[in-house]
Amino acid sequence: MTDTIERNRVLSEVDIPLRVKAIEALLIEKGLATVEDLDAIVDRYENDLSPMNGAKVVARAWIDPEYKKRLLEDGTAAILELGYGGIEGEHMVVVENTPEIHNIFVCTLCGCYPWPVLGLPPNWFKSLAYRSRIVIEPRKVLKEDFALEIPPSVELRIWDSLALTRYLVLPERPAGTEHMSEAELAVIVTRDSMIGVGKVPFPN
Amino acid sequence: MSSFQPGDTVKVRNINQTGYVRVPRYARGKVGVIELVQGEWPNTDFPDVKGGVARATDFIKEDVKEPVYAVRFAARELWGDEASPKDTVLIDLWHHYLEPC
Repeated sequence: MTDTIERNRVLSEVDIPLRVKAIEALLIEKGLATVEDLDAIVDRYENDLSPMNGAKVVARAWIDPEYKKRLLEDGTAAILELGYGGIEGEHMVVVENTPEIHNIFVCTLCGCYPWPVLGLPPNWFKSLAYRSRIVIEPRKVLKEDFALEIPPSVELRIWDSLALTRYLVLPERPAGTEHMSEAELAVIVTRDSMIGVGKVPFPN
Repeated sequence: MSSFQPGDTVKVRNINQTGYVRVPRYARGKVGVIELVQGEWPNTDFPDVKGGVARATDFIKEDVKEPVYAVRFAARELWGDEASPKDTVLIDLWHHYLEPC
């Protein structure tokens, strides 16, 4: 029993850097990777993959109805038009939030996430608490943990990505942003709005 | 195998095999409706191996594919009357996890 609890324990933030160092050292010692390989991987995940990519996809969809149509019909191809694709983004489905329907995605199995458009997932997305509760009591989680209240009249759709498909939420464009350019819009799109746990705030 | 089409009603098989399986416990035995056909992919299940560590690559047959669907469930079907009648959960499930209903 003790063993089970120990294995299921969520790693504390203190444990993770030590673990990463140990794994890096082993990979190098066994000749499976070089320091340069590892640096290149970290650099790609820190600099090339980020929610900014997804924000550009959203901004394009907001200003270009034809692009939005392609995006909702074939997410993978439309996202690739902007140059984003590859691992964990090979099969993309984009779901649109409207005044009537609010979409959220989760992976209750582990923490699958659309890397090319959102970068690496935040820790809470992979936590057992989020993964369990967002399917059981989504309205409570949104209200308590994300300060997002969904009116009872709105339909909530929770997408559990247990297979190869990865999801991206197309959030609603805030009212009053009609004058903004595509580049300006991309700046206001938040990561959380593309997961579905937030809305895009009206820019100050 | 004959595949399901969007709109078909299906029931999730009550699979309780040991090993790795991607049908969540919360959906087993529940009834839902096919929303999307996501693609055709290899089955990723693999059994426990006694005395050793199972590797997915020992079991997954890359050339044997089956349809994977997004299946829509009413939140109340999964969680009972406490859940909002408006809410749905859509789960990506392999064909062999499902039976006609």
